[in-house]
Amino acid sequence: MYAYGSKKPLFEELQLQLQEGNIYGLLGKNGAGKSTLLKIISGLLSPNSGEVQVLGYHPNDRNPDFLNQVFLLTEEFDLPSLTIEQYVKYYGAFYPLFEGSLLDQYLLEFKLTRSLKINDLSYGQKKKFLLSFGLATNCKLLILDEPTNGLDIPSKSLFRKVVASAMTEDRTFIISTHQVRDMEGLIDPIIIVDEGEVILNQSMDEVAQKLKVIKSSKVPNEDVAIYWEGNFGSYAAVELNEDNSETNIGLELLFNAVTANKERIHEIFQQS
Amino acid sequence: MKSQFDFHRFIQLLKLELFQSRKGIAMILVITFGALFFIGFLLSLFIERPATYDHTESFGGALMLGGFIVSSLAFSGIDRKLRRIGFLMLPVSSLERFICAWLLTCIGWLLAFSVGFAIYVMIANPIGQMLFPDTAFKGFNPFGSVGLLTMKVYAVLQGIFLVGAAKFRGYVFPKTMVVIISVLTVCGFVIFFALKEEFTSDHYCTVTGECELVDAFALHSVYSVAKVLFWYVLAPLTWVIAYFGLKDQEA
Repeated sequence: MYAYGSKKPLFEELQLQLQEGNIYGLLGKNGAGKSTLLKIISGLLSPNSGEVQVLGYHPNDRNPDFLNQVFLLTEEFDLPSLTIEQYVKYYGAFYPLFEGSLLDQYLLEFKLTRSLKINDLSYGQKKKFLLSFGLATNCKLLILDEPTNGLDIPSKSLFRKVVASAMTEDRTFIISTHQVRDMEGLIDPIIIVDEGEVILNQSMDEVAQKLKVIKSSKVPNEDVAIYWEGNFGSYAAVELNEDNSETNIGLELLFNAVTANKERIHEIFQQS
Repeated sequence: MKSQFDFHRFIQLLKLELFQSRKGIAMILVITFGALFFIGFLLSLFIERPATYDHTESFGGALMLGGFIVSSLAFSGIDRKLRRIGFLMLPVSSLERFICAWLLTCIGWLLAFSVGFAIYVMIANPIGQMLFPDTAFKGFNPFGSVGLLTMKVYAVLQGIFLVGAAKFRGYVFPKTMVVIISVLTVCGFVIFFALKEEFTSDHYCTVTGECELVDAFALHSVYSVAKVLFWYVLAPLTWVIAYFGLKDQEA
């Protein structure tokens, strides 16, 4: 549990276990508690009660052997006035598994060079550089908070490609976002937080087994649909997948369904 | 223990801090020596001639002031919201960070300033002599006995500003100064009222049995206690407080 001063406590009775080899998507509205959860995981905030263990360490002990296995890319950042080359020389040395050649590969993908001054880069380019650096550290846990904010459309798809290609079985990526469309096809499992609690933590396969999406031009039957939304005369409804049909429920629809109907979704996923 | 102190990591941190603060330290040195030259020039206009100018006081004053400002900036990364994240996520321990800050702001500053001051004296003296021929400008060796004593005093007092750097967020130097002045005022009053009796009745007696009131502060027993506390207790105490203060800020 964590509480900001006298505000309502967040993540009371939270039990969350993340398995390596996955790119977790942490979804939630603004102020839902996503960044707080990420800060707790990375040790920037200490929970008021309960225990957090990441990679076998207590994050708030700030053990350097833990910190050199974690890379956090926050939504906003303050970078020193250095060239990329200097940054790599002085910061890369703290990460025992850092690979310069890997960094060069990512920089090339993002059309950046080591000679560039970091402070001359645009916000999006800084993010690309930090992502490249983070991936080149070969960290076990990569935490990205709103990574696609500030990226143009081609960069977003490049981001997905780079992140997916860097995934290995011994790594865990957590990507927090409220721009769910940017993460389509990349993140799995999905963790949805709302008002300081985790309301869904399931793989897309498990979601597809339990829920299906029905598209029609008629207004869906409210007794059957868990959630529905209409758009210019066509409707998409989320229903219980009782007939094991294979439908692709998009992240945005899933997110809206889960946040609009928390109790029902909780019941559905409780029944195994 | 290795997780708390790893020599390789420590050297990397030292290199990083030196590299990042190089411009700031150079600026402080240039401003300090520029100010010393300017103030010396102004004073030379008003002093009665012939006169002798020696650098002892300016060395002490500038060493302390500049060093205390540098020490106040030792953990500046922790008090700015965005920089704090980078500061905290860097894989180093609080111990490494503290020792690094102490080495740079104490030993590093002492060396950089003393060498800089020696060069400054070599440049400023001939210029001063040229501008004011009837003033004798004395040489100054920062590593002579007076210089070394000043450095020892700095090494003791500097720890107080490291405590300030670890405890306060923003405006560290003025906040630390306010605390020092307040503590000294309170201590002064307490000591005065608690030890007034002893100071006014402490006597020393000769072998012939003649006794006189002790009238020099340095002869009182309280002075020897204060001396021990200053030279041997104050610095380690401030280092420990600064280290735990830094740990608290990081938690």
